[in-house]
Amino acid sequence: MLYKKEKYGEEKEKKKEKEKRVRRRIIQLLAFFFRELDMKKRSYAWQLVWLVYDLMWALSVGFLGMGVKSVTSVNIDTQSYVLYLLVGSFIWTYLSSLFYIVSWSITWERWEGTIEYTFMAPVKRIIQLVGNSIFAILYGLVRMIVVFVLASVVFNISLANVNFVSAGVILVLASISFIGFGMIAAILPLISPEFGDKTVIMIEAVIMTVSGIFYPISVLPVFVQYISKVIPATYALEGIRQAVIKGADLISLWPQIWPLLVLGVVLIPLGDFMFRLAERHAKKTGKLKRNG
Amino acid sequence: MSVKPKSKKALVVKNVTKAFHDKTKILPTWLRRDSQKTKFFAVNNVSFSVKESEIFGILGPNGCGKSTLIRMISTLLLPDKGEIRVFGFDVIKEPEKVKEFINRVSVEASFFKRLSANENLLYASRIYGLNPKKAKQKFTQILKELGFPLNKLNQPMENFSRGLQQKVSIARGFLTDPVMILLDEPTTGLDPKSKLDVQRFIKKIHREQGITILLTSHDMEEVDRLCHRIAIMDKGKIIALGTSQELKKLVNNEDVYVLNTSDNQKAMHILKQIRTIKKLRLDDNRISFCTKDLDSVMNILTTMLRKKKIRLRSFSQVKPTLEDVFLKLTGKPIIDKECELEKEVEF
Repeated sequence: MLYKKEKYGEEKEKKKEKEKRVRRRIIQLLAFFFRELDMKKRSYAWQLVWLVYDLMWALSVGFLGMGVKSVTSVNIDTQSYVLYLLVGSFIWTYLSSLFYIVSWSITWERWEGTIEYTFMAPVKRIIQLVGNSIFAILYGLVRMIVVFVLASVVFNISLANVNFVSAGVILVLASISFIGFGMIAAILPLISPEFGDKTVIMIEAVIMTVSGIFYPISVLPVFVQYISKVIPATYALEGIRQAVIKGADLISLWPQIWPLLVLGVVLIPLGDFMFRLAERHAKKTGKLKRNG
Repeated sequence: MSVKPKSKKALVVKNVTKAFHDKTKILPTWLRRDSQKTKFFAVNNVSFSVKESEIFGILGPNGCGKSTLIRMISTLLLPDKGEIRVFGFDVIKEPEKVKEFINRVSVEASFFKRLSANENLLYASRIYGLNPKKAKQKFTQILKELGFPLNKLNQPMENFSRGLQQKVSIARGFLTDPVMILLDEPTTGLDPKSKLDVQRFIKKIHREQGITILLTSHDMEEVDRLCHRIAIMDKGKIIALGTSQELKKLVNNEDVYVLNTSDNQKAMHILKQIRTIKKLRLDDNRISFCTKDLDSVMNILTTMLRKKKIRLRSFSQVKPTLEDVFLKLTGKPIIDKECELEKEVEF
């Protein structure tokens, strides 16, 4: 009886300890979320600028589609073509903001000099990156939805055909694998403080070109198409286009879903692993200290 | 804190070495023939230990390796050789456990400058998993004690003076209730009043909580006033270690006295006749000497001075300072002479 009581007490203690640990991790995760939120609030004027910029870009792309008929004198389905271009624009708005927040999180901290304090805290890197990513997803979604709604009004886009479930699933899967991609890009400033941040911008530009934001990847040179196949944005754009324009269901989107699943499963642990390697390298060579 | 200490010793640093390569060389190290020449030892075979609840000071000029050492203890830099243990945990093999015990205040108060003090401190408390409400109460209290104007708590930190930023930095360091705090020149650049506020706060926290403190500084008075034991560092090495009294004895084992009379020449003549007096000197209109038998010297001296009708204007004992210790050990003053190391090793 006494033994049972003792065991029960031990279990209760263990459960309490576990709850405490979980609560602590949630608070740590929220630290990164609220830090990003506070930064955006403090630079609200810039957020407005970027929103207007995104909207103008989407509108320019839409008008580009509307003008194709008069420029080429070819009879095409303008409405579908505009939608094709706009989906590319919206998805890129979202994915680029996600990539930017995740991949630049380290660069920002180095510039501010706070990276040593963050790395000195007993917080797991994966929690730091997930906290950043949750904010990045919500922030990117808000930006994309605002641009989408406004552009829909301007171009009178019909949403009757849209399969929202399929589009949502593809977007979630794309976000996961894109976060993994961002995590890998985030290590570059740790390896090379001088060139890391510049390389991140170049990577973003390459992803934009090879993933087919405004064109099918089949128009790219064959060797570039091989690169496209390992970029999650390629499948995200193709899948969401099919869900929005043709109303494709999840079964017919399987050719886009499975590569996104595989990329997500590979890229997130790979990103975490590479991040830890880069952190060790930075600690060995003293690269955490340099600001900017 | 969920992690229990493995050892009673707060900190053990054993044969620790850290070297950096000259970043101005374009070729990677393994391609260079002169790699040894471009290697600078920021910390060179350093060993010491700190007891629980001790205030241990590391005194040395800029660039002597103090901050590199602090970075290694705080898991931000990996030593090339040697071992560092914090409450028994190895900083290389068990950094997550070490992080539970420590926090650090560095000379550069690094913050997200656009965010307010409140936002920065809430972030700092959350990454340690602290309840934000309790943390806010705590850092408000600390800031109040440091003389920080609380009406500025919600202003962006980019508008703060260096002194105010440093006070927020100190609040960040103590906010997490560390068992050991690493204070890396916490008062450098502060005005005298702020400096005093900070020193008073450090003393109070130590008295109340028995926290172990590792303090680096080139301010000798500060180290002398606050620390139980002091290590003197120069060019990456510890050149002396002991209590303030022990270190001062390195300068002079005998007591030094200075006096001034109405006729110093005649007084010198008298003093020369006293056998127990050593190192007798007359300079700048004052006489200095060493003796181990002050009472008999004073007896003879006062009698003789009275006889010769010489008036004793002043008499005092000269106490050596840590500056004298540093000067004696290195042949150079501690301030304004940055050793070459820092200029070259800006890693």
